[in-house]
Amino acid sequence: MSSPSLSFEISSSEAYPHDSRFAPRVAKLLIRKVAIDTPGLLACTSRGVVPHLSRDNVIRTKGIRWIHVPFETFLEHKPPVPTLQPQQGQSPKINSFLRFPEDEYVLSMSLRDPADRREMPANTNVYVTANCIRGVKKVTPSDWRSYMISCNPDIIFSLSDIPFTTPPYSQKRLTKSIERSALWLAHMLHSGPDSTSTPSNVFVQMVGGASAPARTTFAESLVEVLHGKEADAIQPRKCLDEGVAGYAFDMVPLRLAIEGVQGLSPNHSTIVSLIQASLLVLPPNKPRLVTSARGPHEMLLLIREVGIDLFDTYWAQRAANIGVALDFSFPAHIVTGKRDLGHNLYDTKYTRDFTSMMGNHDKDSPGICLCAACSPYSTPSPEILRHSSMDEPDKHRDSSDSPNPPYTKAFLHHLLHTHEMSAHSLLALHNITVMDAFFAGIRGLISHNSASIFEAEIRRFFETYMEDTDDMSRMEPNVFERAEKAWGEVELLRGKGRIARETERVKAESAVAANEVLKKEMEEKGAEGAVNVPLASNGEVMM
Amino acid sequence: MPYHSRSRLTHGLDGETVLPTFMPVATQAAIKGLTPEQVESLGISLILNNTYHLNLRPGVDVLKVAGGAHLFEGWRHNMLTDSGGFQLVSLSKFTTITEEGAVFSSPFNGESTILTPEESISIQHAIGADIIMQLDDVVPSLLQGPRVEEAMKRSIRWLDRCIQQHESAGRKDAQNLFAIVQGGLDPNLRDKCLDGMLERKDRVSGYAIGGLSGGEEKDVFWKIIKQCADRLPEDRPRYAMGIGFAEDLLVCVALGIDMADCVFPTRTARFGVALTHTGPINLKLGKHAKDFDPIDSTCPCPTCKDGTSRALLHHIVTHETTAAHALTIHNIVFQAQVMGRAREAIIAGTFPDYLLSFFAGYFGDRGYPEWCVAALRSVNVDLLQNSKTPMVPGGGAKWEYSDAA
Repeated sequence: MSSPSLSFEISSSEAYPHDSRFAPRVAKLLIRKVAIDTPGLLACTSRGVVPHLSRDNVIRTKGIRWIHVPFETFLEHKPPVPTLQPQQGQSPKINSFLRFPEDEYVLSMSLRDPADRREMPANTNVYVTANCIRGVKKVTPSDWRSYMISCNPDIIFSLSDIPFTTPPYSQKRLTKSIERSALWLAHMLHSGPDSTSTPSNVFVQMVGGASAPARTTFAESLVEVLHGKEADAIQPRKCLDEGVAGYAFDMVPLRLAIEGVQGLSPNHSTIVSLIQASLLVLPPNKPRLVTSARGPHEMLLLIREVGIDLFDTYWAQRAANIGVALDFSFPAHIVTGKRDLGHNLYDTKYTRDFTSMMGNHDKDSPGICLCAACSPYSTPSPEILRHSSMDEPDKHRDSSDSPNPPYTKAFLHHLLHTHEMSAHSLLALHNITVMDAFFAGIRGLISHNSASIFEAEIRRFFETYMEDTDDMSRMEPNVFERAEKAWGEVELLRGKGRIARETERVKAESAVAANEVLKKEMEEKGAEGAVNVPLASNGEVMM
Repeated sequence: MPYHSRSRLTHGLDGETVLPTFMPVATQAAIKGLTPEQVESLGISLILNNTYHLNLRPGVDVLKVAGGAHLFEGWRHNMLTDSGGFQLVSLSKFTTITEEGAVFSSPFNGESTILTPEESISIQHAIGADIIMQLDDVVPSLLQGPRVEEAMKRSIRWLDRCIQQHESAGRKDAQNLFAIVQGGLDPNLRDKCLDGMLERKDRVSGYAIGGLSGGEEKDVFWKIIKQCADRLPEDRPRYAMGIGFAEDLLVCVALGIDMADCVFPTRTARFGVALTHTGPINLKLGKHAKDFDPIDSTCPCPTCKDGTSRALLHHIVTHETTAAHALTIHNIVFQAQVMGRAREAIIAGTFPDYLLSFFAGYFGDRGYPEWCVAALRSVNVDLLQNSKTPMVPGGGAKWEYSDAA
């Protein structure tokens, strides 16, 4: 059973009316009844669920319309459990299993989690290594194809050879990566007599590491017209690219590869030129997806320089995990001075801050956040569960349609310090909603304004918000680093041995405090080494 | 039958709560993992917050600036705070009791703070719950000796101090104060406590039965509940503290209890256990890895109505907070359903039939616990009538074990 094909319609824009391969573009991706406006987002999942969000909270988070599901955790069982899901009507098995209705969500699957940067045993000509809770598993192209045919997601990421061994990668290694990935794509696309169905909507992860020539070679192999047996295998298509619905760029292995070559954290222009090297020879009218982009600054640059259409929300979801409430918009808020991209709600300055997570902004700034934390709506009375005929939940309730008061920074601060999970639920749905509004702002700007206005707003965004970078020259930890440290401290306060740890910490703190007092005293007395000598009433020194 | 016909808590509350009911526990101003919108959508109108914990964090100052716990945590319906008395037992390594109050010494730096009855009531005023509890002198259920009587008598004296504080602060009509009957497992002490506390009937809004659910024999437990419920006034709600197992709840309702709270259903959810009308299901077990049915296809909770399978839950349970949320939602609804069906049966006059059918469904596979049979017989419900199911000794708490064991 194959999935309905995807359509990708690029609209003509005010800002970039001419067909330029790398220009920013506004488009609509359509699969079945689900329309995704681009530039737009896909939500990351862990073990098949959106982290911290139960189904009802996923429904409350309107920005979640596309979810990406790494398959590898299901390798725990053989055969993997989703492939055993009983068919429910016409729904693809993976949608039935994970409970994301196929006419409400786009569901894409890759073998590996694109954000997983851990070292892995080398891939070979016949398998890719993947991670599950029982350890490393070997997955062959046949395995992958059969899993995907069984699960039948809307979008399949073709099996690719992306090395997670220690970089840098030799020419030889990159060549293998290119050849294997192309071969495995052909395997996925083949419609030979022994296959029951051909998957549609295959996305390919663009390999080649940090080598522009290697990346271009891979791209060329996609558009190269095949002959003989190779052509037969993928017929009626003439080249691999005819079976490719979109291109994916994984920032985690790309950054690792660049660091391996340069020894430094990659800068934007290197990343951009490498992605462009992949896209140079490829048709521009297919969706371009980036995984694990490092925040809105990088996303803006990738949109402007390369014409990227889709980003996963890895960075925003990770911010939620460490207690950061994102607070930015595009166009940027009108403020004086430069500010963080969000709030580290562990900070004690929020103990009595009863404003919502988006904070107070002046009247010229974009509107309030509509997430279920900043604009919480009660369930309409008819939908509230009643457990007996005596239950009358609508008695004494406000019947207005307006939202309840927002969850405050003070409350989130309390939840974080008391290690309450609901902190992360509220932060996750808030942060994803901020990203959704961010992309809506970008689309609006590109559609209705000149390129120079878009450029100016990008500049203003960079001037308004501090980018989340690895910049080693930064003296102070940024808001994300401070939050992660605070998160770690709260974790340490719990579990076995916590009383001993906390006692040590309190002792150390009071020793530091006592030292400060002593230092101050000595300073006040003037010279170093001044000693308090007891004097008798006649002024003589007492012994 | 001492169980109550339809009744509602309404006076001085944020909306109505129908009785009998079960209260989920939001210890630190949140039902763990859920937002107030979620809890409200499940048909819950009354939750419990914990005074000891809220006093620690966020603290009374923050709560006062926020305007009370309802506004701080976003819960718009009814709330009950316990007094901090239970922490005297649960954190007892660091506590000494004096007539003045309970002295907690900080395990980190030895600093001590004292919780007096007056202070407990003041903190509960700042929290602003609709129902507040007296500070009682709680001792472990299984403790014997003169300390039990001392604690019981002190609880009456502390009740007076709580009433005094509550009234002189002018909060008598804004918040409902409940007394807590103590006396351990000794019926004589319980009687004396009841004597004392019933004298204060006009100055309290309800009565709780405390000092149980601490590992005592179930056969002793139900008799104490019955003894207290028989003497407590008809026109005051009766609250059994720390009761959460379905069978315990229904026995208590049959004996005349209106309200109960317990961390059990929400805690066991976080540990991967789903509660059902035929017993608990431990979703960590391998036997559920390939079970594509929901926990209970008749359950109205969002997890089950959405069709979330046991197989999916098995895959995420203990790994993803999302699993904790899905199971917490289910277990809260299960508890509400158990009590809701009880209310429905009470209205219809079929409560004995409901008891028979619930217990048959729950214990039919392994036998009715003796104590349940005895307790229900005391109110003229005979679980063994027309039933082939035998009686079995022991507490009877159900659990699901691995097939591999």
